[in-house]
Amino acid sequence: MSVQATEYRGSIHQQQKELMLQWYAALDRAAGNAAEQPVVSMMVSGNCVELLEGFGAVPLYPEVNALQLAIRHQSLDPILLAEELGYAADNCAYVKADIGAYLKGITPAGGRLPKPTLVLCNFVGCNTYLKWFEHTADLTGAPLYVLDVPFLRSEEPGEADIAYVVRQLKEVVARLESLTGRKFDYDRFQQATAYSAESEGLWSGIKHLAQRSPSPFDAYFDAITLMGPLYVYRARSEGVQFFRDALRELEQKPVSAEDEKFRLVVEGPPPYPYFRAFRDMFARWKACAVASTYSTVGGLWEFGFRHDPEKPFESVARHMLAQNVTNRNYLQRYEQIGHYLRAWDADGLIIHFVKSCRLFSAGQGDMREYFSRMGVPTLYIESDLEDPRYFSEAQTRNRLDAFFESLEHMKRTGARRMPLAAPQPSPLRVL
Amino acid sequence: MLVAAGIDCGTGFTKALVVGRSGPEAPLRVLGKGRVRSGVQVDEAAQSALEIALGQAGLDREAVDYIACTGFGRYNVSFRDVAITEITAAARGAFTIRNQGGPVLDIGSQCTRAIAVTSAGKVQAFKSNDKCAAGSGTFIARAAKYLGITVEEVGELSLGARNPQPISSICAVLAESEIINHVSAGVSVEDILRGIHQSLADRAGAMLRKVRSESPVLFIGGVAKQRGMTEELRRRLGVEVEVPHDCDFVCALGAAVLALRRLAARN
Amino acid sequence: MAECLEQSFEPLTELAQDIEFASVRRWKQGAPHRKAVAFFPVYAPMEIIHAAGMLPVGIAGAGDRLDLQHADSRFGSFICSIVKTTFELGITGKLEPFDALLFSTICDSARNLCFVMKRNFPGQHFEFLHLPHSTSESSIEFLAAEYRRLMGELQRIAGVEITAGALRNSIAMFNRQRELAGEIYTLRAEAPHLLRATESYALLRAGLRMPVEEHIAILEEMLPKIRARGGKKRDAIRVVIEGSFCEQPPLPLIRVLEAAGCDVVDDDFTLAQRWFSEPLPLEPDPVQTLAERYVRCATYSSVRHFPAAARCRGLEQRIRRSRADAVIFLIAKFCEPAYFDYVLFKKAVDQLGLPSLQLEFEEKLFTFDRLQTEIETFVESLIFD
Repeated sequence: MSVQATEYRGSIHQQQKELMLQWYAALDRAAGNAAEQPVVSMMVSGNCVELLEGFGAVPLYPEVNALQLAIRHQSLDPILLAEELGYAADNCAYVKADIGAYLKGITPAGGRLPKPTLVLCNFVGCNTYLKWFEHTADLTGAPLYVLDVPFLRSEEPGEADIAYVVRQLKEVVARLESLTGRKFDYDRFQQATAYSAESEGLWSGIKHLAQRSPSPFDAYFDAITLMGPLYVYRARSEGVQFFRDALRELEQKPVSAEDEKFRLVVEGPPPYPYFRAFRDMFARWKACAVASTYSTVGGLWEFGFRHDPEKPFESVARHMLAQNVTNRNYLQRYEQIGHYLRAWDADGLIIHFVKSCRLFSAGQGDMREYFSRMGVPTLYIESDLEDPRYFSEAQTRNRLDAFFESLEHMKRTGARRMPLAAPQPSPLRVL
Repeated sequence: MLVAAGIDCGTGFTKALVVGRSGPEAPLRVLGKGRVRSGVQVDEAAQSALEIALGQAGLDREAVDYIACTGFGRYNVSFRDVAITEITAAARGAFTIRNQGGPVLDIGSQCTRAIAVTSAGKVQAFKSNDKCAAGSGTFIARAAKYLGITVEEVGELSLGARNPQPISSICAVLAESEIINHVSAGVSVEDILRGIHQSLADRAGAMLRKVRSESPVLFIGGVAKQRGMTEELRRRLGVEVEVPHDCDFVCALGAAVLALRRLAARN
Repeated sequence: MAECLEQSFEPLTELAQDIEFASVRRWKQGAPHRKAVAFFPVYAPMEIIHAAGMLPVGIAGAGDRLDLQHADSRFGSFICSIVKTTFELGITGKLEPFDALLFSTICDSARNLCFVMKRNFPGQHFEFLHLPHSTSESSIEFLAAEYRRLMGELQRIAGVEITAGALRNSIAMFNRQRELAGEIYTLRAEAPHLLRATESYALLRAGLRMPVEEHIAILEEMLPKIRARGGKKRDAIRVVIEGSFCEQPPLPLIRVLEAAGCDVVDDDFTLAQRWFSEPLPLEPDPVQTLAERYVRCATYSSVRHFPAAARCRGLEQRIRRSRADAVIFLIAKFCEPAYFDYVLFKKAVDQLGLPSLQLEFEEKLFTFDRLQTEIETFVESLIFD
């Protein structure tokens, strides 16, 4: 059985690689000339990269650095160093890898990483981020601004929430003006939201390709490859161009019915230290993720949200408050998954518990219970997104094999599409 | 002569040591030692170990002026004068042997500890392993049982490894399933054992780095008898590792020395 | 007399740990239409709940009193005990006396817990409060709006209007409670032999299970008696406990600490009653006051954002005020806020030249041998020459 068969490598993968190298090169240049090139470190989730465009600032994403280390099997040493400094075995390993790597001088692409002009903690739902950025600011001596994004406690963000975030965004602008000595370029900001809206539309188009059967796109593994450009470049013309090419290429990609045996929804981040091995466990069964929650960490664009050049500040605020999976509440995530199962026509759900990230994982047992009761074949597996010590390859493969075998059996016996029970009544409607 | 005893009531074995000193400046003399399985009756085990030690020393029970107990069962010994933790005792025992401070690694049946000892023989910092069993002697014993060998054979067999297979999991349950996978993949017993020693050594190394103490390391406790383990510690940590003669009596020695000090202070 | 005092701690200890919430049930039966609101740690604006005529009740897991039948499978590995025992309290019907349950932005696990409970217990009202992680001026305005939103919800449930007068009265009550809590800690720092940490724990945490008025009366009655207690200072090291602000350590563990030769001169067991060290002004606008003081004047805490330096200053002040010799970091297993802060605090405490010890606990812990060994070693390293 060919493992490579379901993994598609087209020109967009090359383009993606070049864009990311270009980004690291920009960071490396910034490290050499801080005055010329402002850099703002941010959290991927609900990032406001559009605002940075108003200063021509480059975003620095510690998570992306951490996951790159893990994929390259370089995460364990920095993690161990951080543990020697007092971080706990049960602290988020992204943070440990990032801090350990900083102290060891390891960077994902080998170039330099700059000291940020501003450490902007766009805390969206992840309390661990508050700590991470407090520590980063303390360690690097860079100034810190915590952009307090109220957690989404109702269906839509309230007026007070939006006003609060907009006021803070304007404080960030003032802060960056004084830190960089540059005037905020409102027109460029507005243009950035227009580019974002375009990129987001194209990205949404790509996500919807997975509604086809067979799907030309894996919305977990392939989506992760495309997520870098989405976070770094969506608010720029390069991003729009990239996603235009990507959509076209994937639309035209030939796929045959034999290439897809199972359609899945995947919840949770991947085990980056075993990314390749994990992917192969799906590939050997011709299992395609048609939707994933992890790919909506940056934004929920497949459900229609776009940045709005007419109301740039407000739309950035709305994106941070309500249009990314991490700042939405847990039941809204159930609804998101339920919607995927129906509208993307999936056979089952895989829940990947990662010990590092309690935002994702705390309560996933309840999630399993909810979906199993609805009649959705659901598999729950545990490992980690960064720490290689918590992944048992044989065990994970056995569990996935058993799951796929039972899906196969269900298909053969005609029990394949169990009618999806209506979700339990909930006061929260998402989509 | 002042005579005191230290009794280390460990989870596996109870060790007693009788020491004496004929004057404040006189050298410390080890008069006798005894070692019995702990079992469930800690008090009785302590009694038996002490009797063996007294027999060696040719002394009566009355000759012992002060008894310090250490180890997990220290509070269960009814005839003790004082209870001291095994960490304080290990630090003092190591200091007595080396006549200097420095790092001590203690791997017993249930617990692994890294201790930094000051130049005065006191505990500066210490780290115990998490309650997980994957890092201590019991884990090795279980692996040995699974592999069909005795614990006593482990140390030598491990030395004969050609291609050690690492155990990457931190959790005992996962680690055991890794061992089972190795067995079914046809990996030799020697290579598996050495892999276990490697993983233990790595973990011990991390603990030693946390207490930040300079080498050489004094390696004590029951697992210190396994030569494969000592070899791995040397190789992987890149430090000198000393294993004292009677490496499982170090805590009893420390307790006995502290008992003697209390006794001298009282007189 | 002294014996009488000893005995009065027992019912308070029981009350503080009661998972049947008998006192809450009794209070509700005392008059028709009484409502109770439970809040999950660490802080809640109890004044607002009180002003709605409701009973604010601080919940704190279930200690070792509840076997987990469901919560383990719902929350999986690597999640702290209090999240699991709180869910288990719900699924076993023990939270039934509460008309509403209030959670806030303290950590990722607790936040998810709120919504998982909301799905599983549809008969109860769940409220999630966003307490700001910012010191920006705009966060005061936001928090005032957030409090008004909460007031709207509580008014609907209670069927009463929260007037400014009622809220001022409530603030005055809780001011008094905080003042008395402050006196207890001052007393412990001055004369730790007069009040054990476990006694102080019972005295204050029982206050989270009864009307504030009753609690004030108990404290006012007992404080002079405690001051008049006999006994002599013992030879012990003075320790500050940091890290137990949410999940509570088992009381036997605190006893082990004391028995090993530690006088606990300050701790963070009951921050909700010590959130503000100064009384809150009643004028002009009480809602604005609660919001403004939260943002500007509250204690440092691991569950809200502070710049690293300010955070460490908070602990340093606590060490200085209580004249502590050492710090014990007593951290609940899997408590990420405490784990992270430990790294910063440890550095700060090292710089002060103070010894420290890190210990990890879980609610359901019942054997303390290993922790006892570590604590005793720590004490031995400090007191023996």
